[in-house]
Amino acid sequence: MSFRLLPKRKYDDVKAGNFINPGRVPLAKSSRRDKPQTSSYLINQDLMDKALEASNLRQQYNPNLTIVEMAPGAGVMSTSLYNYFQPKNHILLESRDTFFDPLRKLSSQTNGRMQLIEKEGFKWNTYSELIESRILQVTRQSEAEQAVSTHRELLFAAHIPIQYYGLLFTSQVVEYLASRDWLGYYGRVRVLLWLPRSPAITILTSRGFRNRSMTAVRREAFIDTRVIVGSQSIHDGLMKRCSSKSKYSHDVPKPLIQPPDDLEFMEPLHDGHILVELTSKPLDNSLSLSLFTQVIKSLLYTSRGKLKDSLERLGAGATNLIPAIQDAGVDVELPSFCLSAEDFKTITRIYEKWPLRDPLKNDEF
Amino acid sequence: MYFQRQLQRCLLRIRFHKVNVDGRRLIQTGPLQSVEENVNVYKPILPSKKYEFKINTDQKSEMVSLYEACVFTNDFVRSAQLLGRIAGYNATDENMYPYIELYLRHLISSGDFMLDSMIRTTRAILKKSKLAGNSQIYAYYFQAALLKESEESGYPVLKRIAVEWRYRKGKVIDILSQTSILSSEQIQKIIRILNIPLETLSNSQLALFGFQPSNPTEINTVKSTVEEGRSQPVTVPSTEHAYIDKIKSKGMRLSALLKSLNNISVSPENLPVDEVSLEKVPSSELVNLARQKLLEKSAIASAIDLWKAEYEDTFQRGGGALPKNKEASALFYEWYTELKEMFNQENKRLDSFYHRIETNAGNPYIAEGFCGPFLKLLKTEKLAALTIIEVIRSISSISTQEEAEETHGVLISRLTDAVGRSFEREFLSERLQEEEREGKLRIRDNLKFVFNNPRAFRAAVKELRRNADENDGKWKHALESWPRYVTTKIGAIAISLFLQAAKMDIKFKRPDTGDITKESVSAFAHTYQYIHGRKSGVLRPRVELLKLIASEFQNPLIHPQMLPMLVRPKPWVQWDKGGYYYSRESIIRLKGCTEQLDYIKEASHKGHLKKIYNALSALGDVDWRINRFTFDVIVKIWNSGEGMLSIPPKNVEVNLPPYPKQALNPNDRVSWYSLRDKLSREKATAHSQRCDFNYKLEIANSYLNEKFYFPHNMDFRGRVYPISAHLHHVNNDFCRGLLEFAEGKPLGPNGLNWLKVHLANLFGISKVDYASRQKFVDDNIAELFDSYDHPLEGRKWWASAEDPFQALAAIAEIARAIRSGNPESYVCHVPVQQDGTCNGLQHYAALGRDPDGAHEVNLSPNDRPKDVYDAVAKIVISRLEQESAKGDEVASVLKDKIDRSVVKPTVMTNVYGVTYVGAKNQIISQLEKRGDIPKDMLNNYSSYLTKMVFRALRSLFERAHEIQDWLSTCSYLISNSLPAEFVKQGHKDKLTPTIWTTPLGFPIIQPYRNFKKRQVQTNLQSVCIEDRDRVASVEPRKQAAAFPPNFVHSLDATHLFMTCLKAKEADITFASVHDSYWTHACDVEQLGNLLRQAFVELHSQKIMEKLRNEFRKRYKNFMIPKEIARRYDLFISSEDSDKKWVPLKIPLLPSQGTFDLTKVLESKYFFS
Repeated sequence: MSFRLLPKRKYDDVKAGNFINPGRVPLAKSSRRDKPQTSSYLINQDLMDKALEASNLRQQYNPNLTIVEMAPGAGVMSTSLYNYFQPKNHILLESRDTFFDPLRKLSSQTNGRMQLIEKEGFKWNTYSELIESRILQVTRQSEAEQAVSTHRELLFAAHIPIQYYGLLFTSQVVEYLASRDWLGYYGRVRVLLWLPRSPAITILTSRGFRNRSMTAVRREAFIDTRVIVGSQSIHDGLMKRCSSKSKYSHDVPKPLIQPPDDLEFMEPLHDGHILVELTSKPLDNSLSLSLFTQVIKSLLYTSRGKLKDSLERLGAGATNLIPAIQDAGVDVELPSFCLSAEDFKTITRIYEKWPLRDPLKNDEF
Repeated sequence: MYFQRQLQRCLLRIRFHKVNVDGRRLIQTGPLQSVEENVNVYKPILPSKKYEFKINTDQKSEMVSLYEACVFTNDFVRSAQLLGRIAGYNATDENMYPYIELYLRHLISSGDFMLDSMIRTTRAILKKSKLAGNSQIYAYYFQAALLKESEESGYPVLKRIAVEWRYRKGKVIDILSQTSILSSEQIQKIIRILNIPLETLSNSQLALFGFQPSNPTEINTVKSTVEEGRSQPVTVPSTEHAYIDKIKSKGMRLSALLKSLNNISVSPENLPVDEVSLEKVPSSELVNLARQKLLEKSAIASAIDLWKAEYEDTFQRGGGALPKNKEASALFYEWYTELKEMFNQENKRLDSFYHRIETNAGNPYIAEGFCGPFLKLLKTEKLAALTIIEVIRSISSISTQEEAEETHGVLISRLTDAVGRSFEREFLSERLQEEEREGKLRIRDNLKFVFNNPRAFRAAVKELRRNADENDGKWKHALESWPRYVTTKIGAIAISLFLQAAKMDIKFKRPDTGDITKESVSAFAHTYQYIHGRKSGVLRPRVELLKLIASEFQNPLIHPQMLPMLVRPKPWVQWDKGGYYYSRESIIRLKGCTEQLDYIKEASHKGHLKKIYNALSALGDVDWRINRFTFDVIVKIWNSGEGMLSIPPKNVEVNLPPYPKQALNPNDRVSWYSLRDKLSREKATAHSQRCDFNYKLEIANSYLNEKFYFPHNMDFRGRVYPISAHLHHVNNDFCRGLLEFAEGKPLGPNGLNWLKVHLANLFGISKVDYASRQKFVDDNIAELFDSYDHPLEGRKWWASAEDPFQALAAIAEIARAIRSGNPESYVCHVPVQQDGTCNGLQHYAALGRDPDGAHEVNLSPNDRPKDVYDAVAKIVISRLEQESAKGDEVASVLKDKIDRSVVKPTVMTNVYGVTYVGAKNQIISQLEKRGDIPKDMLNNYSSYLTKMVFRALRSLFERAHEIQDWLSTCSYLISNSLPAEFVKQGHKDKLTPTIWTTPLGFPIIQPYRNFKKRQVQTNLQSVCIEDRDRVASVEPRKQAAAFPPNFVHSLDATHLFMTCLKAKEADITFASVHDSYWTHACDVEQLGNLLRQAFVELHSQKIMEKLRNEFRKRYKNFMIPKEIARRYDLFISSEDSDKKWVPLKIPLLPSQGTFDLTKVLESKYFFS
């Protein structure tokens, strides 16, 4: 199979006016409340090309690379990814029929390397179907391989919808990469996500941010993060939530590329989007994931109080652990939202060894 | 003295009656029987912005409670401040008087006051509340003046007050008549000071003031002792009981039940026959009544309170006498001492806080300022003990480690309230004790009994509050006194202190060194959990603590429910008098909204409810016994431990696959979680069902060989239910199979045939004529004998019936009758049931005199019973065929798949207001059962079909639907309306519920209201509470949707009552389950005639016209928003056309058909 570069996508071809209801993503859940969500897609190929060049990701992959792309929209990101990585296999998961024609046209120029699967990427079942029907065939990394490198044959890319469902999807991706579920099953898989404002702010917060969430802590603990394309408005929104007293505001990852403010590179909603790269870290078998979850969940319930007070939420008598936690170098006078992921890990390890630990509650894993 | 007390009571009653009527939010207690009389309108007091300061006789507000607490803690500066503010918001409200009196009484009894400043303060308060002051207030002035002034000074203030009172055209004699305030010495002294000539006083007044040695007629306590009862004691029936396999259940519910049931078999010499000899029962019943007394007393005795008393002793005695489990008690004692100390410190802190408040009149809303007085009402020892008891009690339901892991902790919101309430109860019992000690309060039973018995306790508290003629009684007469706001707040304070105190030592093996060490950890954690998708604060105990107390707290946690009675229930004579002998039950079951009770009291008072009382009493008079045959069969199945029919198996196996780690498809996790939930739910259901069965079986076992009775009461629509829980005839098939009439009657010429019809009905063969039903049984006679001879080992024909256990009972009776050789003289006990054909539709057809509808539901005579479900199914099928001919795909798929069973649930529930969504779900489940319809199409097909069924029903019962529409329209209009004067004042809240009166004079108020929620910040967390007692707006949609079914239910209840009264007259045994009427086999025909007569009588009354007239009278001068009037095409006069509100007009009734009601008398299958 010879490789031929795809022609550059023209702005006029891919802008929202050419499609009917372009941003509406029908969602996996079929209950009546779940209306189609708005999802923007990339229209500026130059930006993506530049970002990929800057990311220097090409070396990380071998020629057997398979790209799984969710909600490609008009195919700008697909073209850019295809040209940059020259993958053996490029799977497009798109369920909006308005985009079928341009995507079919794209794939027709790739000698079968790129294929359009008309399925919903938000459904987890879609991925098992891909695997069952052998469209997606990837080798699984052993633990030893994972310790050395990231997965060299699989890359996931997606446009994420705005608001609640985007947030939900993103936090699940983070969770599954950490616990090696879903595509994480194959090893340390890298994902590239175009995130709208709300998921972006949620997952990028670090210690000292008032809206610090479980997802953010998990990301910090288990996922290597790079912001490839940044957005000033999201950065501003993020910093608004940074506690003025906190001295940890520098932990926010710096973007590789900062497009000019007036550049509209997404359609149909122009509001700031960022491109992040998430790669899971090697497995840490010394840490119980379920306990870690229990610890962050309990401590972030009331994240504003001092750690020494909120430790009680972990279980009756957990305040007895204060000296041990202090000895390990965690400041118990800080509120929980000012703790780093490492601090949480330390607390988890101490808590795990505590003989009087409450047995795990059933609803938590 | 006796006379004096009577007079005082009389005076007080007058006063309180006034308070009662004026203070209530409902004034309309208007005519309930005849709609021709004037109907007063419903006038709710609208919610005030300053609710906190408002006096409300239904529910005490926070400020008022705070005020009372301040008075009781002798904090007069603050209470005067508060009283002033309360007065400001309750101007011209006479309900203020008791509060001012409370203040004065305590101030005077404290003795620490200046006369002038007291009168000045009181006057200021009176002025603020725009009241002149009444004789009681002046009596307190007199009392204070007598205390503070001396003979030498000549009592200037007292005289001045008397002049002032006379100037206001008052009579000093009225003041002197306040003998509850003034002692006779004080009165005589005042008469001397004021020089009132004794000749002007009447003899009775003189007697009252204690001038003459009062010589009242000797009150002959006429004791109508029933000596005969004692001379010939009836022996308690000797009982041999079956062995029933007991299951392990959490708590000790069952053992508590068994304990009460043991009372049934107490030997006669141990019975309290003397105590019951004053009751009006036949002497032969005395022994049983004595047993009944024991039973009721033990049934209502709350074991918790017993436990509490026991432990309180322990707490107070310290380490002296420890109960069985030394470890637990020692631990609690440790906590107790520490907590007591903490409460002491808290009190000190509060004192310093008060100092600040008094100096600069601080904000009463600050938590400490608000709750401090309440905490100070009790001693710290008691606070500490109560807190510990309440928390331990709440966690002791989580008895095993397994459960601790499964269940969530105890909800903080519930716990704070429970602790607060226990403080309140304790405070009240202290007051009771004090009153009792001082002889001011007469309580029938001894105090120990009262404290151990929640009912008696509540009654005593009521008495305490009502007893205003004694010292401290002038409280609110609401049942609940401290508002939830207060209990939650003080509960939270107590629990937060408790959390600091509750620590325990736990031994463990150190993982590194292997040594056994001890560590002190808190025994509880205050944490958050997601419960039903909401973040809720919970208290989680440590597993070690649970283990520790599990062995100790084997106390029953749930009060044993009311059991069947051993004697005929007390006849109903008043809304709360009837049924059980020694415990009060209300005639009506209400949830939350208690306004209907006011109407019922009024109706009862006016004597409008006599027929209903008679009918309810008659239903209670039916004597029952356990059917030994079915009982033995059921016990055998039960003891085998296997599941059969509705009896769940003993062991439910749970096979949960391992948790999917590193799952390729994250949905595997979701399905794992839902599988786990499903399995644990199934296990829990099976367990609770088995507990329930065990409970019922134990009751049946104890009542073997007994004759027993079920007292009845009603729900808000008048439908009748037995009060006894668990085992009664309005329960599932299993209970019904266990019960039979105690009195047997010979089958007579037709009895056997009716028994056969009954059996065929139980097998579901009810839509063929009587002869065919009898034939069905005759055809299966071999099976019948097999079932009787070998119920469990044979071919089990009985188990294939729709109601197997009842069928088994009927089978046994038929087999025995045939084998007796002379069935006519065979004495039969099993009740034969006759059910109405879709009873709701029967009432609608009669209301609309709808000939077609009447034909379908057997109101008119037919050769064989008509089947509504079949008729509807046929219409639906024919329509589907039409549509399919037109090329409709869905119709052509569905047309062969419809039968009677698919439409049955929807038709049945249609009259009871099933919604589109509800009907669709019913049809989905019916289609699912067929199994030949693809799952993803179920939703589409069922919505298509539901519309079809609704349309078919409408075409078949057109008039019924017109009436339904009329009813719901009226209710919607009414709930959107407001009295004209309210509209003028600018109110917009929807406040008017739908109210109607049944043909027997029973008033019904639809209770559907929106109750508001509010959040209370406590020092633990914020707690959300629902205010049930505030004046809440009604829910028009719910009112409208629920009115047609409620109305029809009220009619079928009336039909039942009328039939019951007729049956009583004819001396026929009559029992019923709503629209299923039961009697002896030999009386079936006679009862059939009576129930038809009752139906004709009921519907000859022009029910709809009466209803419309009642609405027109009741809601006269009510206004509704114009857009709603437009929406319902009401007439709007030209002068109203530019106004926002227009007068409410009740729409015209739909026209009636030509059906002749008397045909019902000839209809063979009306009830069959």
